Amino acid sequence: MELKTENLTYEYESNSATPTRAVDGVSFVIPGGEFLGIVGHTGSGKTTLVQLLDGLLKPSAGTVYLDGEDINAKNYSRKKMRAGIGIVFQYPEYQLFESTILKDVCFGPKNQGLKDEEAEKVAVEALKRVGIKEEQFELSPFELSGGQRRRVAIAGVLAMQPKILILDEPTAGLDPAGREEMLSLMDELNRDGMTIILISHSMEDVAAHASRIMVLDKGKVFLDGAPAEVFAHVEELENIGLAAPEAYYILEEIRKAGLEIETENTVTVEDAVSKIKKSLC
Amino acid sequence: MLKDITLGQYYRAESVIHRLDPRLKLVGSLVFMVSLFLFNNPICYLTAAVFLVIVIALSKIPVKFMLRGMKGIVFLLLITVLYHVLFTTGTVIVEFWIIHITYEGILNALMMFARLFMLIVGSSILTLTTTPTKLTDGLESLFKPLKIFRVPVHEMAMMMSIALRFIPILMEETDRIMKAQIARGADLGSKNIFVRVKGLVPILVPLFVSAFRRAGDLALAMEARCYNGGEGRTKMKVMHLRLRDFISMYILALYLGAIIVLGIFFKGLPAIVCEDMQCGLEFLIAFFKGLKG
Repeated sequence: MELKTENLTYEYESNSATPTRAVDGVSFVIPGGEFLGIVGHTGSGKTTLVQLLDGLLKPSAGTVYLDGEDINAKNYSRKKMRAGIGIVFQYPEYQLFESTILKDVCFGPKNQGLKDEEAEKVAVEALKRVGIKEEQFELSPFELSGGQRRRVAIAGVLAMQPKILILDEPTAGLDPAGREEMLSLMDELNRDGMTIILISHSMEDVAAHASRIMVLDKGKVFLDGAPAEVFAHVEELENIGLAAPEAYYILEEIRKAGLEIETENTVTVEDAVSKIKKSLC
Repeated sequence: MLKDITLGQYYRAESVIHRLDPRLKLVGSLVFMVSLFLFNNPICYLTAAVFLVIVIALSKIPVKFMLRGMKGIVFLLLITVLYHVLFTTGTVIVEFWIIHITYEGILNALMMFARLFMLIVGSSILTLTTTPTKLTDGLESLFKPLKIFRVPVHEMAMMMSIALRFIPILMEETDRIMKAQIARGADLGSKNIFVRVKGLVPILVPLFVSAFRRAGDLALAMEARCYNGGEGRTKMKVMHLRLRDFISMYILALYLGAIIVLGIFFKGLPAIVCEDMQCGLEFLIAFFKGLKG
């Protein structure tokens, strides 16, 4: 499934004298199977953009196309769109409401019109996928730890079998191990052909996993390209309050200290290690 | 979607009314409400209306903004008017089946409409010109004497300000949870009332859970800062009555006095108005009959 936007714009409080443009004339194409990272400072319009992509907000101007169809057109089937796009909001663990984990994960599939048994089948699959054990299925969501609850909430979206999965800050508030688990789950889903759109303000997370990075600033697309391309613009990134991955800065320090080393295209820690090795040999 | 509620909202502006002491505004609103119920007399309503218009003009609140909040009570006003038009006994104008429309009924309906309308506009001025913090400070100070009867005045005021503070937070939270459940295919716009009520469960449960969580966090944070009730607690902003407050007090007393005097002096006015209405109508009918003939 291809997701495309054209001149997408959203204004808050459009009836007041000074509307704020949260998203300002954004156009891009996300082909099926891509792992896109959207990065931006707080207030850059990331969350608003996500809600526009899922049709939860109506754009003030511009269009969102899913497989070439305008999702805000009058006769467009919302149900079809929701089956295509899954969205995991910030702190999704606070949306759980059912008495057991399994029932909660069934909520989405049932809304899609699946029968109880079928819904349960996809729910079990989704729960196993995020690493929830079978003996926990009948527990109340409130008996789990925060990290586990978040995984249950993600399973609730996965159970709807979306082709495109949007995650808004899925690693916020998790410990390093939980972060890594979450990100590798996304890698896995992406390998199976799901389009992943990861919203984050952590450069490290995005740098190591996404195949393409889009940087937002003041509602506009500031940079868009492969991680190495984007992080080549270190100064511009710093100007809008973002930073290149830490690995890059470490290499810069080493270079300043006198070691001859190539610092360009340093995205992940692995890149840095191989470059240090190369310059030492 | 929850942003259209203006009743009970604060409107930021620079005006004399905004600067008045909150205690005075609270008492003033009460006096105004009482003044509306003292007499059921057109001249009293007229005086009250003049007073209200002056206060609104002074408060610099756009009339449009104020009326937007009245949409919710239009239905209530209509029912009141209809009730009074249809069920007041007196001199009959029109009569068919079980419906009798009387002069007294029409006059009563008009007066009730004026009373209710001014009651709501008057009290909305209080919340429109006073921030919630000032309002609770004012309430706490006014109810202080009740401490003698062991009424926990400070605690109640604290509860009220916390509740007010959390309204926007919970609204935002509701919005977020709603969006999350809609994204999971929840049907919130169904026409079937049972489906709709059932659709509220996935929103209310997480909302309550988060409200309790926030309450727990807040209690911990307050205890960590050694909060232990109002005993010996000082205020950051101490309220003082200023010259403008004393002048307003004087005007308020004058207003109440005028209402009482006018109400007693023109006691027979409603009956006279009814008679005048009757005369007027009869004159008009005769006039049109004359035209035809």
